[in-house]
Amino acid sequence: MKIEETWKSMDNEAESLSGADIRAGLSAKVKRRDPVQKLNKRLAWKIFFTILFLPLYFGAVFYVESWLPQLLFIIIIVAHLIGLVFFIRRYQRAKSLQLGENDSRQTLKLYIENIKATLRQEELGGLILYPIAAAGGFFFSLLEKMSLEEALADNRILITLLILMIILTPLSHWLARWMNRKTFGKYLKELEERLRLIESED
Amino acid sequence: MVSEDKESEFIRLLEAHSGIIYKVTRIYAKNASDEQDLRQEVVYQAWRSYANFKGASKFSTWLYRVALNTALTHAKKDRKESPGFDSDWQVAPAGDERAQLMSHIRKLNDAEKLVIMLHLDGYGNEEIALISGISKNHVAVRLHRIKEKLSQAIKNEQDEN
Repeated sequence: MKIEETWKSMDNEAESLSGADIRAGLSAKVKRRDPVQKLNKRLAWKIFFTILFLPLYFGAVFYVESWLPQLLFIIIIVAHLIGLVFFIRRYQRAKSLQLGENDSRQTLKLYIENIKATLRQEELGGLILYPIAAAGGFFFSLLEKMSLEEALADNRILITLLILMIILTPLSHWLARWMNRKTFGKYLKELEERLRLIESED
Repeated sequence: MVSEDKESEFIRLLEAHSGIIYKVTRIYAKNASDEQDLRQEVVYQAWRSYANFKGASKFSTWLYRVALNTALTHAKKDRKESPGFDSDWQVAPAGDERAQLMSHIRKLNDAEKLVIMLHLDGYGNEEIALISGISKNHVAVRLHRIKEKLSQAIKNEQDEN
């Protein structure tokens, strides 16, 4: 059997897809599995949630009357706005990397790196933001009961705040990493395995 | 909203290149119903990606990439759920060279399947390297090994018959 000739002879035998078959495929409710689409969707969720939480922080700034929690919430808002721009840019970058158009290996590498860098930078940014958010939330509820001056004069309250920040920061960081692993990890691993498969051939 | 013209253009192009989808799905699917699912999935993924197709490569090359990416993801997931091919799927009758060749290609690993399919469909080593991600020099080496492997398998089968 001549491999090339036998393969070519299959061109005439191939069952062609009819227009009706293709139309059915365009709207078919098949289970979608493409990891790139899944990852892009998850990046879009990050944009959505960042936008969703922003009005809450704006509301908190106007709700509290003391300067310290207001300042803390303004810092959180600014961080969220920076995060929003960051996620939008990363999402656009992810969408622009079309695995079908260019050098597959290079595009796949760039795509994986873009997602990983997004998660890494988000987690690092969070490390700065969690203590501020913890302090903001702490004063937000505490100032319902006493004034800021009273709170700042009480060492027990300051020690409680410090302990809270020490506990919440690593805990929130661990939770964020766990969430990212849970939502992105499986699909990232699929792409990394695909990349490994390609590289193992070299 | 995608215009009807765009949709008609896509359908026309896909009809003209449906052999690519046929071959990829036949080789990567593990049974008849899986093949049907995979075909639908390839059509769907191609349609979704079509808006981003800028014509930097030929439509056939682009479609190959989409079909192979979809098939690789699909095959990997299916292997996790139920490894191996169904034993009664695509049994090659003696004397049917096309079915025998398909059957031997299906036994190759995923990367080997990809390389040999592209080669047999007339893609040069450079294009295969770009589509598969394997370096150009290694494509040549790989191809040589795959062809030897296939020829040996075919020869063994002929000897047995």
